[in-house]
Amino acid sequence: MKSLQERVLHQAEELSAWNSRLEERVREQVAQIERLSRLKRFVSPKIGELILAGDVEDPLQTHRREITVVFTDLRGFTAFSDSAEPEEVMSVLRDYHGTLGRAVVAHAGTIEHFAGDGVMILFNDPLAVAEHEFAAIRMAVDMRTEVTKLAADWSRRGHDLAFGVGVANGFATLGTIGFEGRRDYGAIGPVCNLAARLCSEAKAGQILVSKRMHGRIEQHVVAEPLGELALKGFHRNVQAFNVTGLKPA
Amino acid sequence: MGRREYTPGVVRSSARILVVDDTPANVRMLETLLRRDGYEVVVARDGEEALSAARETQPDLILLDIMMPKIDGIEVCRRLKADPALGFTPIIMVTAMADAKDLVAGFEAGGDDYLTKPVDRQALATRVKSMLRIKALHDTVQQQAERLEAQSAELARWNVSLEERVAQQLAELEKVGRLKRFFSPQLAELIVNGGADDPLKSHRREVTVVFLDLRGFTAFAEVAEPEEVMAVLHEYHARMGELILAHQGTLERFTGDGMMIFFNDPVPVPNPGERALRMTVAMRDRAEELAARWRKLGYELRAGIGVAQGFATIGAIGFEGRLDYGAIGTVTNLAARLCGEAQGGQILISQRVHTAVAELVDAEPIGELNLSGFHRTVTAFNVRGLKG
Repeated sequence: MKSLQERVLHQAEELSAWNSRLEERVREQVAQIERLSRLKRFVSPKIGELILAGDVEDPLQTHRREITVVFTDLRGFTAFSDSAEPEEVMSVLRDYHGTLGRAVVAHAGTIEHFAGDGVMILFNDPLAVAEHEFAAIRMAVDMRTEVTKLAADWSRRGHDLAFGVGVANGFATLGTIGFEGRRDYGAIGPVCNLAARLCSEAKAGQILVSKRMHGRIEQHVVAEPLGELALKGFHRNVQAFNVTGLKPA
Repeated sequence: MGRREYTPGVVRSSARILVVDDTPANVRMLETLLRRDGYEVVVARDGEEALSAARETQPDLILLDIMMPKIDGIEVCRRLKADPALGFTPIIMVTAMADAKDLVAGFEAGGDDYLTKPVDRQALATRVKSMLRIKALHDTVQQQAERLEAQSAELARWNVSLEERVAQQLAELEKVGRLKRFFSPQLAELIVNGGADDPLKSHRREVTVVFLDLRGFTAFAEVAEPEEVMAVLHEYHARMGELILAHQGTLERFTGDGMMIFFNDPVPVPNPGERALRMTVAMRDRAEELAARWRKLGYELRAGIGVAQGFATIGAIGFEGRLDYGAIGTVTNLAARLCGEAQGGQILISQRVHTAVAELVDAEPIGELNLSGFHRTVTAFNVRGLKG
């Protein structure tokens, strides 16, 4: 009788100890997952998905795809950030990024990175988008409308800031770049530099697009040719167009 | 007839007793005495009947006559004790006389106690009570063990589901952990293990910023095969990456061939200017080695580097859904512009960086530069190398 009792008691104690350890472990892991998941907010949703799925692990496993690249920034931002109070600068940036973010999400773009007031947005990778050139230009036009409203408000507060956009399309190599210890998802190809250079050429409120880009969207947009531009880093001069608006559908 | 409930440790007057005897007079006498004491009595008139009645009624105690035709009491006792369901049911052997041989055989067969005929009323009451107390105690232990076993089984099932959960979580952790590789280690650490106070809340700090890119990369990427471009980039990132980690810089972002590296944020380091300079000089040396190799392959690619130091507002920028760690201030633009001005193999540093590391570097002033985005001209120095 006694040994039966002891055996059962012993077994129950062991199970209960193991149970406590397991429950402790589950709790710890829940907290760990929660903490690691904070990183997700720092990557674009689709890129986060690919990373979690293990689809973009290998830096050499890149792919080629035709993409549209949009670069935006604020004319006058460097001077503004030089002279304004940091809180004021961050407040302007918050409004600006928030406004751009909504447009990016609405048009299915993917933010590649923020660089202060500069933002680089990809279309058609990693998220496939039908008519990505048109989606990108509609987003750019929406952004200009919204940022112009913001700029009017900034101007009342004494800040002279204006929006400029560069858009180019073409093939790029996409995937993980970087090194052991610091990886990034990126697009490599002249198309990225071209969009960036067009953005720096853009005057206040202008959306500059490459010739190839213009060819893809001309039935949808009203645009004026700007002639040939000599852009840093490019061998040949580049033809550019300024998109003033969308044609009525 | 099902099993009855027992109150642990208490001898209840309703205990059930099986009386086995082939003599009707004996049976009547025992039955009468026991019933008078309040016990429930079941009767069996031979060995066969005793075995089936015991199995059927699960008595608390058995009074067993030894001398019976067919199966005698000894054999019945042996069989009852061998039955797992009845092995603990106490058996009092009832014998015509205290025959020592019979008793020894009875005890060997598993009998627990004995009474001699004619049965004394007082002896019967005492023995029965004593045996029932033992039975009740056994039942209590048995019940406790059963309850514990049931609880254990429940716990075991719960443990299995917990183990499954732990395994699922481990897989999830492994997945989410992959994100870490997409952040500079110090930054990932802060985001993941930062306390309640948001580590990426914007703050002002003096930082040293290094910009580095490859002269000729855009033109190269225009004409070279994509595989070649990626191979060059991979090698360049790998070589530069080792130096960034070794000097505790934080790679803020890649922009194609460009890299922006911070010192003194997100984690403060002593002598950020010195670290930055030592890193850039090592980077240039390595990039020149790479450039010599690339030149043999027909690519003209050389690193240009710009370094600036100053206060910046640093923290998370972006919007809910997509944040980025970034620094806002002229210091980042200045580093980028100096990098843009640098020739292949040059390291251009701002006046402020030069002041911070003057003891350390061999540098020449290159005069005033007119940089896009800057109101005034900027004094810059070209770093030839480290002193000594």
